[in-house]
Amino acid sequence: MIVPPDGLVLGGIAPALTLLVAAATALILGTVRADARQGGAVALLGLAAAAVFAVRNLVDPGAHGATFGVQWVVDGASAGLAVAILVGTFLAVLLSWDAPVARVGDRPEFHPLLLLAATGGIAMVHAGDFVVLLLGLEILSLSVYALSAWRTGVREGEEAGMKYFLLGAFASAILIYGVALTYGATGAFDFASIGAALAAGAPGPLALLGGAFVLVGLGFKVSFAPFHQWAPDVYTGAPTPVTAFMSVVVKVAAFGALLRVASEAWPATVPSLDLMLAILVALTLVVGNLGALLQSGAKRMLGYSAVAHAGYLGLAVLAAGQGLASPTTVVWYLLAYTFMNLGAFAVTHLVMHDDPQGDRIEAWQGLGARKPGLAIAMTLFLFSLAGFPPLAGFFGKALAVRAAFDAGWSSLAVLALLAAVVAVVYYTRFVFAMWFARAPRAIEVAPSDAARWAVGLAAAGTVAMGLFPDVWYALVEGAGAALALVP
Amino acid sequence: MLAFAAIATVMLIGAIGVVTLRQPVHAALSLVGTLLALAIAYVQLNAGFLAAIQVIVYAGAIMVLFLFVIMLLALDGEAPAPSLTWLRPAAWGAGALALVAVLAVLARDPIGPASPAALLEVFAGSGAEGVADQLFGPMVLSFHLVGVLLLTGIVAAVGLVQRRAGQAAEARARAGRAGADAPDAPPLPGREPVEV
Amino acid sequence: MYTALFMLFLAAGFIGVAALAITFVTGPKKTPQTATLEAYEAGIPAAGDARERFPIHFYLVAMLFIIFDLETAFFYPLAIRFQEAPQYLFWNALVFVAILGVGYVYVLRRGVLDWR
Repeated sequence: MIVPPDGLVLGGIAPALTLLVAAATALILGTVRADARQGGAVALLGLAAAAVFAVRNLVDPGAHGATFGVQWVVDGASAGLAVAILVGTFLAVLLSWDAPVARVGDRPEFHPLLLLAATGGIAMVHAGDFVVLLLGLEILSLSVYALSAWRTGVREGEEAGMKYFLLGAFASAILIYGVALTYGATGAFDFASIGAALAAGAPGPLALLGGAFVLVGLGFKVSFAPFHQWAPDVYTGAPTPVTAFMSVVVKVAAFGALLRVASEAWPATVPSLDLMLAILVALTLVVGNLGALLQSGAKRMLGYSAVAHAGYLGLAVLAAGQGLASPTTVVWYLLAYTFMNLGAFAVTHLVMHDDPQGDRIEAWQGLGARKPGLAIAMTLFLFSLAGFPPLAGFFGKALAVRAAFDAGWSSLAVLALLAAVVAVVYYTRFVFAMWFARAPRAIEVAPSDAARWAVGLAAAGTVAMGLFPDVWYALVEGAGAALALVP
Repeated sequence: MLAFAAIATVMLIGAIGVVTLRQPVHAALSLVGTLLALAIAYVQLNAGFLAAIQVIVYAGAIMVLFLFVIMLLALDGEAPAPSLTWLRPAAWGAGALALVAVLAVLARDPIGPASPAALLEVFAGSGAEGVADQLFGPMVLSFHLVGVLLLTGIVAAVGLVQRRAGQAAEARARAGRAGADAPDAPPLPGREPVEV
Repeated sequence: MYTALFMLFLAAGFIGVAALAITFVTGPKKTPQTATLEAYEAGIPAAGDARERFPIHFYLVAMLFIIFDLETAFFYPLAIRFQEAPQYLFWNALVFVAILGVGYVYVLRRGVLDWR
């Protein structure tokens, strides 16, 4: 018997559907006239339209009722993460507007792939079962594999694409194996049924092994240590606009999925999975921050910084997964991270011009004197990533640490605080280079007004989220909720 | 039983051929034989759907990939790469381990002669009905997402491969900007158009 | 149940072997000349052999074949159950084909299948 799922309505999936239509339009138009501006314009329009639907989902998650049964979940967290993905993709399209990587005349695939990747990401954060999660992950990953190898004739670029693809395919295989084992143990793909089945009795080794494999597979995508080695290499080798895109969108999507799995599929009665996650988080905090200390290039440093931030996000996921903190903590952090990290990569793109050899701290010396606007923006982003108040990053880290304390992971919380002190060192090194070192040469910045807009918008977002942290929090959590850092 | 014995013999001959034949193409064709025989075994078990998927996906799609890889890499049956000397003993070890595992499971839990009734119940119809009920019932969204995934695969593959023409134009443009009067940029080292 | 099928395979195999055997027995015995061993008996002698590297373009065609081949696999269960919910399944199939149709139109227009 064929029984269609409840609610074959398109309202809930409208953001993803809009992006898909935009991708198809850009793809076909690109074969008529190969023009990167045209692709970029279609992408921006599509993203704006999708954002309207996503915000509508956010304001009233229940408006559409059930959407495709249990496979697609619309709630504050998923809609908020969809908004973060759309914001990140929008800024990345602006950033690549004049970039050579998007403008290779006869390759109209750049923008469609960005849009398809965002579609996959949105599917991941809305996923209500492992099948949609996996398919979204593969759509996102396939696009990003191709985009990270987009620069032609650049060894680092091809190495990045190859490395990311091979390791990513391996991680996907482990994730699929985990899903299969979980299905074997519980007989279900959807998170709610899996959670109920696991909570019903002591889970056997099959379920635990399945959970561990799922954790490893998703841990690769969010770059938890020890599965983080790809991140600095791929971030360095990929074209900077693509790095900016993947550093935020892949992270938002994968953490969204991990949040959903941890809070719904792994019930609080299974402490061993939480313990595994906690060990990964502790490793990630240590490895990410110590690794970033040793880097001399901005992209590599930001690559390790992304690993370090995965540690803080992991803390928040850990607490939210146990039901001892609000998932909104994770969502709040991820939008803040989207603004500040994308902004940092945007300035890096302008300063480096995508020169594979330009990723050195020397490139930043004297930026403050030559281009004060960019230097101020970069200082904002780096201070925000380091966690200085009153910028967005401060509230992100503070919320994560607070969540860890609430959930009883005090040692992890203390470790995170210590790591935050270390982080100040490596971020301020670049700030010092910009403001207090003399420029060895004249600084030429890539001429792109669109990329400047991306920097400006990201800076505005970083500051606004720091000054008015309650607005976004209340939007995700539901009306009337207020962000509180002290109990 | 006779039919099964015949099919099993073909499968075994094919499998031995895969690992012993020196020519990669012959090994691949031998694998086709094994896969097709396996499909027939599925039919004997009344699992028509599984058999069809076996033919379409494995004997069709995957084998085409294998053959193209062999063709593209211009492999012939000579001189295995010296860096992979550990591979042969490792493969034997893994195979032996798998055999031990299978025998251990069999020893613990011997399979009696399968009752035809039970098999018929498992594969009611051809096996496709159950898949259809799930795929177009509660999981219909994943059916469409598969379409999106395949579309992404097309775009990503074409985008990566078709860049060659653009690459030449780009190189010319770069040479023009640099003021060089050479009409074509020199080819990058190790980057012949036929390279994989 | 599948005896007929098995007989069919047996007959097909017998005819194949028999055809070879009969030609071997009745056909003229000739010592092979050098020209017979060439790929083309007449014309320009073949240069090199077929084992050389092929353009990546071939591989792309193989990839596209696999993608559209997988699409077929999804229609098998759809066809089996089609009579149960014809309207619903028809529209679902149409959406699926439309998504891949975009890919097909794109591949055609992009010139992937043109031999240059």
